[in-house]
Amino acid sequence: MMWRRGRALDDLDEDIREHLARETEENIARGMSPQEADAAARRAFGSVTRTKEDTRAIWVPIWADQLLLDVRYALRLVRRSPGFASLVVATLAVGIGLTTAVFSVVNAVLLRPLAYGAPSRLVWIVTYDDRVPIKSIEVVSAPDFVAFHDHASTLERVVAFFIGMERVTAKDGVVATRVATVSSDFWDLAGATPVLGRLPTTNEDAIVLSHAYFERVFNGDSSVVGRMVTIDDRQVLLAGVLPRTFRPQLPAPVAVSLPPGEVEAYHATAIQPPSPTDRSIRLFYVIARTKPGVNIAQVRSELETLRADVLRAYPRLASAPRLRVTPFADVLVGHARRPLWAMLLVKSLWRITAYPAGFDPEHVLTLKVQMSGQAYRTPERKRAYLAEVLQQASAVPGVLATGVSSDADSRLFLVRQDGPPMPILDRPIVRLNVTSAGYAATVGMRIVEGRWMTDDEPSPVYVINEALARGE
Amino acid sequence: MSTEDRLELLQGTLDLLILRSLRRGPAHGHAIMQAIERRSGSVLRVEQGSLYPALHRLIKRGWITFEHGTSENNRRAKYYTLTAKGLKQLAVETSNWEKLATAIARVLRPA
Repeated sequence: MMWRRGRALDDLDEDIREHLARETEENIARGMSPQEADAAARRAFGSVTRTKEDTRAIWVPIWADQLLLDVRYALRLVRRSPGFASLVVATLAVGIGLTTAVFSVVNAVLLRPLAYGAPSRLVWIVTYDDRVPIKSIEVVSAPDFVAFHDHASTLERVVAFFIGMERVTAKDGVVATRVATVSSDFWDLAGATPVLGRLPTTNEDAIVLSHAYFERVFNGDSSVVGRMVTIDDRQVLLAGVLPRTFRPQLPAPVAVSLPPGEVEAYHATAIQPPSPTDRSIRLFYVIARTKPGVNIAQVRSELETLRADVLRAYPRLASAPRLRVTPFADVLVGHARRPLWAMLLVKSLWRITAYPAGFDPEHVLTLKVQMSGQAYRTPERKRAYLAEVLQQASAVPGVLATGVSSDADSRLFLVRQDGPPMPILDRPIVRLNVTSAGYAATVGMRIVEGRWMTDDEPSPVYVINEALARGE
Repeated sequence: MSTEDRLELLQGTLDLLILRSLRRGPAHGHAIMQAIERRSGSVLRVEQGSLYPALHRLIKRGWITFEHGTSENNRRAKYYTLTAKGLKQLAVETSNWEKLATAIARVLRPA
C-alpha cells in the first residue's frame, strides 16, 4: 500500500533503521542470538554516520552551487546599487531555505549597507610598492596621512585607523579586546553619537566602547564611564559608550592575524608627523570623504602632489612609491569576496547545520581555560585547578554533567601490533583529545562499544571513534 | 560461501546492478542488496552502507523514484522504483558493460 510521497532525504534515518532491522532479523533466523545478530548487522552495514553523510552529500551540491551563483550575481549588483542587491540576495537566500545562522553571516559580511553618511563620496586611500615581487601591504604612513589630512582641498574628512587586539583590564580579569585605533575625524565620518558619556576630544587619550562590549565586559554598568581603564598596562579614560546601532564597517588588516568579529572599543589617537630624523614609522588604513562634486582622479592628482612634498621633507622615509584611491564600497565588497572565505564559511556552516554531529550539541555550554604563569607551573597545580572548576560548575543548579577536554591538538602515530613494521612517516596519525570521566556524558557522546574512561585509571586508557575502529 | 571468496563491486557497477534489480519491480533497500547478492550466486558483496548514497544518486538523476508503503509483515518501508528514464538508462549501461566486459575478456585471453 502506497501512502505518502515526500523529499528523498526526509526519512533516511528510518530507511537505514529498517535496513538494519531486516538484516538483524535474518541473522536471528540464521541462528544468531539477538545481540550477535544486531552487532553483525551493524558490522555488515558499516558506519551509519558515514552513510548518512555520503547520502546527504549527494544532495548538497545543488544548494551550495546555487548559493555560490547567487552570491556572485549579488556581488555584481552590490557594486552597482547596494540597497537593491541586499534585497535580492536576502530574498534568494531565504528562498533557498538557508538557516538564519548562515544568512546572518552573509548579511554581516556582504550585504550590510554602508554605515556612513554620504557613502558614495567615501574613498579608500593606500600606498603600495610595486617594485617588489610579493604583494606589498597597502597602508598609509603617518607623514602622508598628516599631509592629506591637513592640506588636501579635495577631501572633507580624512580618517586613519588600525585594528588590533589589546588587553583591557576589567573587573573579572583581563579581556582580549578588538580595538580600533582611530584618528580624530573618525567620529564625524562614522556618525558616532555616544549613548553614555562623550566622545574623546582632540588629542585626548581615551576610549569609547561598543554597546555589546560594554554590556558583556562591564555588565552595562554606567558608573565606569568617566573612569580610567587599563589597556595594555596603560591608563586610559573610558569616555563613553556607543549605541547598539553603531557598527561601522572597518576592513580588518590583512597582514595581522585577527580573530573574526566586530570592533569592541575605539581608541582615539593623535597622529603627529614624526621628526624628520625619526626612522620609525606608524602605518594606518585611511578612509576619506571627498568634497561634493570632486572625482577620484582629482583626489588622486592632489594627493600625488602632496606626497612629493612629504618625500622632500622626509628624504630618509622608506616610502611606498605608488598611490591608489578607490571607492570605499568596492573595498568592502572586495574584502569579502577576495579569498572567497565568506563562501567557505557559509558552506561549512551549512554543513554544521545539515549534518548530525557525533555528539549532542544542544544545551552544552563551553568555556575555554588557559593556564599560564607561576601559579600553574606543575601538572598537579593545573589538575587541582581543573578539579576545582569542574566541582564548582557541577554545583550550579541546572547543570547535569561537567567534563573537561584538551583542545585535540596532540597527535599520535599508530602502529598495528599485528602488522608489518612501518617507516615512521607512513604511520597513520590520529588526533588525541585528553578528557575527564564526565566529558562523554556532558557532550552527549554515544559509546557504541565498551566503556568510557574514569578519572583514575591505573594505566592509560583510550577510546577510539568509529572511523578509527574501521581502520580508516 | 566464505567472505574470502566474495568480490567487492567495481566502482560504478553498483548503479547498474540497482537498476537491473529494480526492473523486476519496486523493492526496499535491504531487498535490493539481497537480490544483487543472490543473483550473483553470492559472489558479489554489496557494501551495505554504499547502497544508500547510490540510491539517492539515482533518484537525483531521475532514474529511480521512491514511494512509501507497508511491507509483507506490515512494516513501513521505502520502496524504490525504476522510472521510464531509468529503464532507458539500464539499456545503455548494460550495453556499455557488455562492451567493456568483452573487451577486457579479449585482453586477458591467452594469445
